[in-house]
Amino acid sequence: MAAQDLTRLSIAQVSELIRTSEVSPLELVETTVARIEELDGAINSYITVMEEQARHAAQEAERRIRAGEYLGPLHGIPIGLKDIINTRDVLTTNGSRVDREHVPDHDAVVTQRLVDAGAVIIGKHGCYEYACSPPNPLYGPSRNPWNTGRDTGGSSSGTGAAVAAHMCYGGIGTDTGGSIRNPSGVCGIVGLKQTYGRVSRRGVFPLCWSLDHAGPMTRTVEDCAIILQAIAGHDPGDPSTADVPVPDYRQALTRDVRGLRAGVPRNYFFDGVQPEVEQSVRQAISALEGAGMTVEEVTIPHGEYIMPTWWTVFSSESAAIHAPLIRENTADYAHGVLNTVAPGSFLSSSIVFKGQQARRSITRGMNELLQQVDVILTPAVPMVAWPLGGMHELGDTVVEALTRLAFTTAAFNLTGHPAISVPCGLNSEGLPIGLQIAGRPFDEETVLRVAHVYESLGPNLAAPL
Amino acid sequence: MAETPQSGADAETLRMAMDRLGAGQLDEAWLERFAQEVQALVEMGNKLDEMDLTAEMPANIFANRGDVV
Repeated sequence: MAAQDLTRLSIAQVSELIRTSEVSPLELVETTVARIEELDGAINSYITVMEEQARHAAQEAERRIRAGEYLGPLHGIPIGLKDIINTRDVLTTNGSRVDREHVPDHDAVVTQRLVDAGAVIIGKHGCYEYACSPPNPLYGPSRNPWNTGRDTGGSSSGTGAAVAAHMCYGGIGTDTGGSIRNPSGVCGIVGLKQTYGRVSRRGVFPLCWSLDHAGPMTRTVEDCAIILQAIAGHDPGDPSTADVPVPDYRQALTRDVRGLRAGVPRNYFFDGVQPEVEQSVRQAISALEGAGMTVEEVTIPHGEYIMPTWWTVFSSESAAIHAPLIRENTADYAHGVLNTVAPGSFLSSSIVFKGQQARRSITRGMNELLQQVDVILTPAVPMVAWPLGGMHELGDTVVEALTRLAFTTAAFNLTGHPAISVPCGLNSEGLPIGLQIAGRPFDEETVLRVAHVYESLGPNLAAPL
Repeated sequence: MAETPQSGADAETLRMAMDRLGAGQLDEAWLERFAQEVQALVEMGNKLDEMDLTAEMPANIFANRGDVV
């Protein structure tokens, strides 16, 4: 098979070739490295390409296959990681000037679980500084493969671009207000923020302890299920993880959507959404209805207070995390990050406490709504990819710009519900649009199942490069 | 008793506060911009005063389960 064809296969497809020894893990690494060398000068999605480590891991993967120790669908598959996820003995910059020489002495739990499942870590992806604010001060922005004059979204910007441009088979991003689903939406790939507590964040640099998630970014829903299977599960070292069973996510994809109920919000989620985005999302909802889902309008509880609550939680926690680092390294912090995290130091404790109360109220309301319906369908991102580097121009302040960009996704960071972005078309400029599907806590099976059915009905987006 | 909403802060107050936080010298233009950011955040937070939260528990409750990890 030609190298170009090999990079276009999904994890599910290429893993069959690995399992049957038609393709070797080393061959996959070499074709992926060649693809990166060919394209990443223009896309800038990688900070570190782990060529030698990946070759060594691929050779070990081959040895295990020959020894009859096939580990499953990630065996020998090149996977990339956002550069705030620790990799032992490999540069992990956290997207920052402060940590430009940081080399961890341990893997993050998600890294270790991928390796245990046989994956080959191919490199570290560029991201916003501290997964918080563009640009990346050392390596510059990643560029959107659909139009290199456009932004990738963020903060898992390099992962979105690298997966979309077939420079890895999948990746792990992180998501505090939408940083997996936002780049997935605007880069035309699949991104899942699973339930808070489903996946360990130990070894991932925190932005906001109670909103952070690490999750899969892939080209297909099935690939997303494959990666989630590998990284999900209780971690005694991360007290936020839940000790609950991990189901068979690929098995969930064998079912259709007949009999499932979907809620389409009449408030909040479509406010200020670009018309072409809304049109595409509503067409996707109609397609799911045609496939047998029952669709009804629903009201999002306390919609107008979701972002004020998210901001109080985000800003107070992120200020606490960054205060000691800012103290030691003020000059190395870009103003974008300072303007995003430092204001939280000036919120009154009364507001912070009300944010905690409001969070409880909003989460309970969302749980009640998700007793009436199985999933909620919304736009993933309210707009298509904006001009490169132009995020701060979306509002007069960081609060305004980020609210405008992230209100659709941040709602489910606040409440902890699982939510996925799946491609649902292109706008008139040829830029991707994402449908968001959110479900009940720890019911990623239904979220993935609906996404998988939609994927089979929706537009098949051609690879951008 | 109704609570007075929090107000933002001017650049000079923020300079003193950031200095106490140990952030060192920050230029005038940045402090002006920062004051706007703080004001925007405070206005966001003050919206929560509109909610009736009198019977609501906070989202994070401390619990000691005797963990040793």
